[in-house]
Amino acid sequence: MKFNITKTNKGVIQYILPCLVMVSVLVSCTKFLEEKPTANLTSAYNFTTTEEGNALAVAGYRALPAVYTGGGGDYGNQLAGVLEYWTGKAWSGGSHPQLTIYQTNQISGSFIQNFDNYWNNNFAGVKDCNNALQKLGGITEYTADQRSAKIGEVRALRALYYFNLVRYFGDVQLDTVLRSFGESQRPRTSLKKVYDDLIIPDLEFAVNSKLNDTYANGQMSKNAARAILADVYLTCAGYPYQEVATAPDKAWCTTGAWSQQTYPVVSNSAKDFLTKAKTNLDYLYGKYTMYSTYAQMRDPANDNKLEAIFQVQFELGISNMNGVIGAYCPSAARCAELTEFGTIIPEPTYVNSFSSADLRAQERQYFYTSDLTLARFDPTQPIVRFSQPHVFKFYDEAGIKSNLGTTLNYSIYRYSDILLMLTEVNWALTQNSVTVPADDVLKGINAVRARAKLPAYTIGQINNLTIFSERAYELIFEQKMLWDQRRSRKCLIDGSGAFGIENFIGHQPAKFNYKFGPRNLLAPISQAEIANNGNCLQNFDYNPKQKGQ
Amino acid sequence: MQFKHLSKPPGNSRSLLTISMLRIIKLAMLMLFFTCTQVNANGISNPPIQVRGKITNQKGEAVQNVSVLIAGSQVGTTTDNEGRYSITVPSNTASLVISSVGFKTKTVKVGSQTEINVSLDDDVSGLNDVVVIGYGTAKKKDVTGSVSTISSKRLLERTTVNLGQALQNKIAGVQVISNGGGVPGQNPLIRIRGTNSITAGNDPLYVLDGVVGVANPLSTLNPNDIQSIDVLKDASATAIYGARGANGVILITSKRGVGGKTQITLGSNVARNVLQRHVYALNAEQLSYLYLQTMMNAKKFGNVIPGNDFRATAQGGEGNQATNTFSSMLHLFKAVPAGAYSVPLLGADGQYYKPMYDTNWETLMFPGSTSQAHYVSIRGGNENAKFSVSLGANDEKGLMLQSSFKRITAKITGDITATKWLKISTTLGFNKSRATGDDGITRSATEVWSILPVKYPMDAPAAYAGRWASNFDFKTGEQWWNVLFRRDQIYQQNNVGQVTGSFNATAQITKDLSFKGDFSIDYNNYKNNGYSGKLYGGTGSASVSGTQAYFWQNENYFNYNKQLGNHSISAILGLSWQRNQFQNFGASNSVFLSNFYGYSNLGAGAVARPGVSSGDGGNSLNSYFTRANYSFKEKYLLTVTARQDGSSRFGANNKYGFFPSVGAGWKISEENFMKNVSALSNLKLRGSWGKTGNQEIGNYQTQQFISTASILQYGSVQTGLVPSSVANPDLKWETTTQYDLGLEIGLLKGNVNIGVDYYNKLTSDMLLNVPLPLSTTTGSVLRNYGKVENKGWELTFNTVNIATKDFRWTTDLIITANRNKVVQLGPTGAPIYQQSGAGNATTIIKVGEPVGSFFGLDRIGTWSTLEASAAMRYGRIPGDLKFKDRNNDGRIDLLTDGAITGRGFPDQIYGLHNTINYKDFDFNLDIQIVQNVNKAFIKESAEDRQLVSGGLNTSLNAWRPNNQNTRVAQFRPGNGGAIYNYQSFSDSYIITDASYIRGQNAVLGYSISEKLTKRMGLQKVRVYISAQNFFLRTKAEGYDPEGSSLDKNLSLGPNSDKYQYPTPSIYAFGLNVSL
Repeated sequence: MKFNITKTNKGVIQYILPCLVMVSVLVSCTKFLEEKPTANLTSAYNFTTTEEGNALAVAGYRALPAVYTGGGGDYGNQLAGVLEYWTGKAWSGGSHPQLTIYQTNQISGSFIQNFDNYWNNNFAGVKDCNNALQKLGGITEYTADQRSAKIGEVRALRALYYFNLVRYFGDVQLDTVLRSFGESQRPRTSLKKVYDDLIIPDLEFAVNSKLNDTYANGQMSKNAARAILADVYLTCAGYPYQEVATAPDKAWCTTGAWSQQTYPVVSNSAKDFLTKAKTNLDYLYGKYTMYSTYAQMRDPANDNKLEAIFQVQFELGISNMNGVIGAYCPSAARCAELTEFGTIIPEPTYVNSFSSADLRAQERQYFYTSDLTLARFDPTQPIVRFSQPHVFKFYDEAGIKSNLGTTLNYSIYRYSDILLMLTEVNWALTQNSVTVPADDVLKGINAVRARAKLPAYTIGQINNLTIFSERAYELIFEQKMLWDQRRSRKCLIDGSGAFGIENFIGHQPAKFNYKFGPRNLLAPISQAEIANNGNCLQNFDYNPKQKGQ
Repeated sequence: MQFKHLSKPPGNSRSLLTISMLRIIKLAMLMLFFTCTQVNANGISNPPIQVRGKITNQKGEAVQNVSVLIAGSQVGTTTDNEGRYSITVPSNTASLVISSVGFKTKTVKVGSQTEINVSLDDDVSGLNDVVVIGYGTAKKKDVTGSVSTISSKRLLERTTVNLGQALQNKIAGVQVISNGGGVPGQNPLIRIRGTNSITAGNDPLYVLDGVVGVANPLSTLNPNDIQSIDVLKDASATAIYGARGANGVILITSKRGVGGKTQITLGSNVARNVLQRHVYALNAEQLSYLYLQTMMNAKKFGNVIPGNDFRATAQGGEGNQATNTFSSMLHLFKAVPAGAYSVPLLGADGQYYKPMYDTNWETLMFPGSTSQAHYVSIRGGNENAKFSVSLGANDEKGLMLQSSFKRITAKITGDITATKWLKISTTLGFNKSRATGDDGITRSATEVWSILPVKYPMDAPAAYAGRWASNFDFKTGEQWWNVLFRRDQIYQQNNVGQVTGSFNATAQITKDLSFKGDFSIDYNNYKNNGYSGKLYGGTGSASVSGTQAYFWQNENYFNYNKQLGNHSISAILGLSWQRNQFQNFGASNSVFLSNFYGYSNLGAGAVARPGVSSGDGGNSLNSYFTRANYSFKEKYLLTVTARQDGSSRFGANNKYGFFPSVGAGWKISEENFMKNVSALSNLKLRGSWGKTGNQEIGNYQTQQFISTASILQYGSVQTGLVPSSVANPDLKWETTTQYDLGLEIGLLKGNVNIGVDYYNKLTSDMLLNVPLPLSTTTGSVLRNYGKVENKGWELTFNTVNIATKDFRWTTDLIITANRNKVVQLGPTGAPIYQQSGAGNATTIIKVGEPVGSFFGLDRIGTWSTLEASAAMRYGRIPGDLKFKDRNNDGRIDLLTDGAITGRGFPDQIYGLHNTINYKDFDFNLDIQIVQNVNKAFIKESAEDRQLVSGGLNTSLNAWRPNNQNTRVAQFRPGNGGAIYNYQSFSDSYIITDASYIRGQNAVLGYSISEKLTKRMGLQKVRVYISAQNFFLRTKAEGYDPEGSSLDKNLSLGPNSDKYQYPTPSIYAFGLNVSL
């Protein structure tokens, strides 16, 4: 393109110049407007290498700290506490956790982040797993065995998140893929179907995958999957699964038509689940070493060792925000670096229900009633006495006394739980007319009792009261009691040196101003989900309700 | 050079294409230059005449920068600082058109004169003022759109550092709402004709000397450097900025060089900032009373076991009572005889006690401060080359200790007439600023116990001697460090370094046609430094983070002007390329051996895994625009604009958006039938319609991302890949359609001018962050969904009340009334709530309601003793808060029992401005009135959690058996009784009427008479005193009725005050000298 400029007629230039501009207008320069992000991968990326596969798979663990030790949406409020407040057995020293709404039956899904967070955190885990599972098949660098192990690992994690969701909320959205916004408003699926179609197949897959039985580094293992699976089968042998199974198409969660309260459930289905649970528990029996002292339980040196089957991992300077550790300490008592917490405290009547002979009830075993002031606040380090016992079983001294954070792992499953499940399953089988040797029933619970310096039970002493009491003693504040109450529909009554037991419906914890009803068997769906998912119905008797509900 | 930025990686087809296009343009420009030589050579046919003269005002004073144009052409000059001009006119038949802002335009025939001196008459109508309209200028009287101008003089009446504050209360339709109260360096919220969008930005587009979308315009520009600010409001005016015009456009024009004698001006001012209002915390005696009352109620409100004489530290009655009594806290209490102190504080030892200290933390933390500002400028040049250099330095001190905004500004401009047909302009601006925040201290100031000292004296008990006091020393409640200790230990600084430069060349192709090419850059370097001291957090933690942002633009356009008899045509046609790129990084460390290192040596920290982060990104815009103005007999005006914008931020099929507008004007007063109406000097009716867009969303929203996450697993840190966003490949522009109808009336020879505008805006295809179910997605997606409407009136009155040689009094009144309404929201229509947790003022965005509405429970009062059984239904007892149970389900729930409790944006804003000039004195007064607006004064912890921390003395209005008609609940230990705890959820109680009248600004100036200054060898000397925010009438609580605390600073919900930083009254003294 050459112009003879000096001789160019001005009119021609005038004509040509706008044309040139117009040409550039017409040649739409789309490349200039293309977006090529450099800081993050997009979904269009083709994942093929081992490193990429491993990175996708490890994401399945991401949500665990949030689910088990994460916050409940306000200062010092912990999800771990939120699971205990419902039971009537926990108290809070802070005003933020809103224990009051549990005590006065004012619970709703509106703006109470307790419910948002438990929902969102578990579903975040589900989505991380689904994302990985959608892509692991394309990792060409994996051998078939590697792929099987990775898929097994991620599916077991997904099952765990779903297990939490169905126990807390009942029916939930069942999904194995990530959704685009156009198809995101999905209705809830029957909890029975979630167990049948996802939780159980995922765990069975993991148990039959190329995973190892155990890993020293805390990885999801076949044994961990067996522990979860045993818990799932035991839960399915109870409520609400067994009641839903009587009429699978009925809208149980939204009508709150729950009425059954007999435990254990006697049915072919229950017997079948219990038998499968027994298989897994029998496999695990003897494979783990009990802590010889309770101090071992709170020693970070024993992370992923001894009784630990599956834990949330914490490491100094890397991930040290085990938020619940602070929540068990008294707030503002100046004896812990972690302040403004003190929100998960056993009701004194719960502590009183321990036998005085129980080693766990002794000072600085499971509980403590005083501690030294931090030197930072007072160099003379006077003793602060608490007006009521606090939980000591998670007392990681280094973490509590230094401001660098706690590093103690948090047990999701530990061996004592397996031992107590073993007793319950075998006993429940006997109630379903299955012959089980007495020792199979007793060996679990008596091992736990022996460590607590309590006398062994005989077979005649095994019943709902003794089984659930022992679970309440041994597993206090390990996020088990709410599930125990819901699957058995039995509640322990606080006493002196011992518990009583009664049906869930009609039970009134000492500090509550109402009796439990069907409403209290499930948590409300959070307002965010109700508002943004027009197909998601609210649980019985909770606000906010879905339009037209 | 600029082509490097066009592409990544270099050398691909995209860049080649771009380069070749730009080359064509360059070539075209080159050709133009040659052509123009010819054009000009051909154009001159008659013998030229040299004309010179002086332009003065009514007082006979020289007026600088007056435009002297040869009538019917673009050829002209401006007067120098002595009011002198010199121009070559083609022949003696030519006329000169002499015009300047603030004066009536005069046309003078040259004839045989070679010296033409002209005295200009004042003009308050502003009709002949030149307004900047984007890619050009126009006379106000010829504009069909709604455009308002602020002159440099008006801008500088207030001694403000921030341009946003300087804009406050000056233009109808523009709301300027302070953010963060009086935090120095904070940018106010600016809304032109309301809130248009929910997710995309609502800030206007700022254009600085043609740099479109310049960064930090409010905080880093020095108002002294600004010649004028023009605000484009309706679509006819803003559509030329198409995709970014929906929120209005603010055009900022810098002062430039002037011909003639070099002019040096100096300006300095010193300002004293003082606390205007107070937030009253409980003093020691009130706190002692509250303490005793709270303890007496402890059992009533839960399972608190109060001690014999003291409730110790932790949850309800914990602790060793023997060690936690008044008698054991001899660092705070001293023994007194029984009855010697108004509150009987009985110790375990049987003695009575009294607090030793009664500290007023507010006084200590906000002691008042002194700011200063200095400015120097040098402007000069000749007809062919003009320059300006200016330097400014500001040291604005906040009311809080060690709180400041420091800024250095520098600007160089050059205007060169290279040849008769080629003009080159360059501008280079440099700014550097450093701002501090409030570091959470404003809240602490209310929550520190008044019974603490700042530091214990050396003779205090051993554990306390010489130590900073903390709330823990009074052994109940939470840890709050005293504010002076916090101030000593925590500091955070935001640094901005900015270079903005532009180079442009204008070639006159023919007499009527010119071409302008512009290349500009805006380079910004942001750096945040923070340190939290060892004694505060324990180990010390420091962070440094930064962002480097680079922007360039290349704009080229033709400008055509033609007068054909009664027809006058002007038009532009152009195209524009723009690109933004940024990279950010952050690093943090903790566990420092000493506070010595601060944030200066992150490597000195010892934490196992120091924080590190980085990211980058960018976006591009490619635009084509045109505007045509046509007027017939200067009576009938028509403006048509269109802009096609392409943005990288939108989906592949929706990159481009088209934004047209049309505006029409009818100067009725020019009609023959109106000529006889002598009272009416101007009557103009104008109307416009158009579409503008909004693209202020993040980058890369059309893509679905897999992000990285650090996960501790398998015994070490692993990088995990997690789904992090939902893609919307169909994303497109948000569009605002606006109608405007305006009437301009001039009466009594232009001494009374009235402007009325009615507008109606509808934003549709709104860029809305639609929340998605978290059960199936990662949370939300940006979609084109929903509609928001803004309708309103703008009224402007200008009057010259008295105008004599010695005395002149003018008044401006502006009124802004905007009504905002959400017309449609996301797919489920669900309202969007913000800030819904305890301790917040929840806001709601709901169909049928205005953006910025407060939402909450209705706090009716407190349950009375007679209502004990009714209270039981809610698990409450007399003395507890009583809320309205709207659905009567026996449960109090924020969402289902809540309702709208107030409005964050005002219905009406009035600005009243008076100017009086008497001989050498000048006086300005600005009054602002804001009506029908609410503010949330959030009292979390200050009233509701007694003994968790100090608090407000309004707590004393609590429920008592003999004071049951109150909305403050009975005292109870905040950290104790779980069932009957007292938590601040958003409710009607925190909402107050925030209407106000403010004495915004008053200035009294004195200019030393010219005779005297001449003798001193100076041109002008003016001294002034001013008072800002000098009076305030409002019912609202807190330091100021307007604005939010920094942590509640929402673009969609102003006036959320949770311990806002106080707004000072400012008294200043200043001096301006022209050499």
